[in-house]
Amino acid sequence: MGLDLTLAGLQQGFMLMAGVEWLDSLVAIRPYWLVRTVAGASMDIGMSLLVYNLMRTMLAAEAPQIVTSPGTGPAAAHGALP
Amino acid sequence: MSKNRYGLRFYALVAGFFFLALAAFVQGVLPMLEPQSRTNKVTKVVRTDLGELKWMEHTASDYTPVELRGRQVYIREGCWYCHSQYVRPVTGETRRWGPVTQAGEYAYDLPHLFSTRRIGPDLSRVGLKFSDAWHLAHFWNPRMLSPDSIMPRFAALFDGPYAVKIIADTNGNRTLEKTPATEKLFDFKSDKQILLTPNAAGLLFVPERGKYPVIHTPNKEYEGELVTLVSETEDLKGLVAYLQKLGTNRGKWRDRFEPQLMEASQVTVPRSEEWTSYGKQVYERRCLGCHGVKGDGNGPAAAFMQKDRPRNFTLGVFKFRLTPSGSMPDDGDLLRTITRGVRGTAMPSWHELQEKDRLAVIQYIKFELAADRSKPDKPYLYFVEEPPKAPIFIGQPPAPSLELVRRGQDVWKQAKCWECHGEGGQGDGEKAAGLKDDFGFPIPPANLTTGQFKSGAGVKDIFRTMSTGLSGTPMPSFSDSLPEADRWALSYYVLALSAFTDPLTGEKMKISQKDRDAINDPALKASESHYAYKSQNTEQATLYAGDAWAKKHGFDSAAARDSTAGIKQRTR
Repeated sequence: MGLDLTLAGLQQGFMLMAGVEWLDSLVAIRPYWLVRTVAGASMDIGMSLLVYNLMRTMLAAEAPQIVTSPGTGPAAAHGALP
Repeated sequence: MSKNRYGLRFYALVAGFFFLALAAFVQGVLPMLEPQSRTNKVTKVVRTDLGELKWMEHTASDYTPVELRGRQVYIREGCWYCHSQYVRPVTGETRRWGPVTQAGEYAYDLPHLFSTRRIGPDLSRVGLKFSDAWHLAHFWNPRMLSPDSIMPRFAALFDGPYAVKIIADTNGNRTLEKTPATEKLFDFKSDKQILLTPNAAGLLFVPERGKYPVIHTPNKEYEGELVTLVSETEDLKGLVAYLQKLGTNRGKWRDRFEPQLMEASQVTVPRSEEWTSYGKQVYERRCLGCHGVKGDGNGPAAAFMQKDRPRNFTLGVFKFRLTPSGSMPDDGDLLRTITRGVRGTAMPSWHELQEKDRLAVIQYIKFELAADRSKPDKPYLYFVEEPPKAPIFIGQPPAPSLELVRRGQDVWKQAKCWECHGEGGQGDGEKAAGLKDDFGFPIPPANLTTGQFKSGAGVKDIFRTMSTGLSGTPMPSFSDSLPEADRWALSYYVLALSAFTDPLTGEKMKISQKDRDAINDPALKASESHYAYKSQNTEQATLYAGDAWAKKHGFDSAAARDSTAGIKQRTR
């Protein structure tokens, strides 16, 4: 997407420098916007999949096995680590 | 124990934060607290009393309440997501939009609306490029005017649409039936009529309220029985007013904007199938919205242009010509009109369009549209049957002088220009009311004090209009009745009528007599923004931040200012 928008900016800049009519310069960079849309959509899908993945991982995880018997709090367990 | 408890890095950090905060305060917060501390100086183009155009330094003006409302709408609707308001000094922007932006133009913008991207065109120079009607049509549906536009419609800013029937009234006029909607838009008891022309689809914009509606279709613009009414809302009115204000702080810059100044005569490409079909493509992308598929001046957007109708090419009458009265225009005339646009109307300047596009569309107009097709098998092509006569020659204008302008004033009285254009040139002469063009549409005489000249703002343009007249309008040719020298003098006088006026409001600018005389001097050229005339008046010296603050909070800093003024006087 970064490459695509950079190219679009360069093309628009050169067209404006050459004195192309405004609307023509806009029409010329519309294909780049299509690529951006596709790229943006794939990013959205990717992020959604990430969230979905995290969610499923969390839901599928087994209940924590930490036994909290009186006298041994988390601090004690922490202290037991090397 | 330790002689340096914190160390250099600590002090550097504190100093860094301090200077950052100071910069943010001085440049970000202080200008917001003290609006006077922002400069409102800009350079602008003014018309002098001798009819010349010069750059001078002057102040930008604040928005009116209506324009401010429009600014709020501009912000609310998010126009600034896509439209920038900044002309950069790079990539030929000065040839595209106009003069480079100056700080003073934003003096009354809080927050400023620079924006970051140009998905739509820059708007900082859009004021007076189009008429209000064009903007209204464009807000209703941008695709009507340019099919490639990606701007969304803003139909929600309109009042309407209301579907209303056309009925005949007792006077034989065609009017609209009374409904709650039309009662709101019109006054059916009023004796003031408003002529309304719907487009071919029956869409009808109502530019003025409180009048008696008369459906006016002299060229059979619409033959249905049901019209769709739309009208302005206060928000929309404000938005258009705001857009028209943008860039007018730079005065009449458009009148000396080089890319759209074009003088051409007898420039043409040969008549060929290829040029004409290319011209058709150009026409369909740029012109069709107003001038219509058939070139009859009744395109979809014409529904909004009740005052200045788009040109009907099928009648073969063209206003702006260098060719003699009664003749068709030559290609140079059409090219000039397309390049410059027709100021004050919906016809914008097309200087950005490539020359070959402009020339091609002329071929299409000449050999396809400008034809009487009442006999479909034998169309009468005006440009073929009545080829344009040789253009008149306009020599070099005489140098401007006060005597010339005075003589022009005498000619103005003798030639009875005032009968239509009014004593003061405001278009309110005794014969002004009810003037119609040859096609049945009202055509009020030009208000010459606004400085908005349809066929161009140069002295040669005014001279041309007087010499050849405007076909199809009550404006005659004066080449037989007035000698050339008189026409030049009159041209300068007409230009001088709009001396030192604001192009948007038409109000006189406040300038001291001393400055005025200095600018009027023909020896002063001031031909570019950076050569702008600077006021010699020390009394109106700019208030700087401290002064402004003192003034606002009631401290008397007048004495301090006077002493510095004295110093300036002595050193000069």
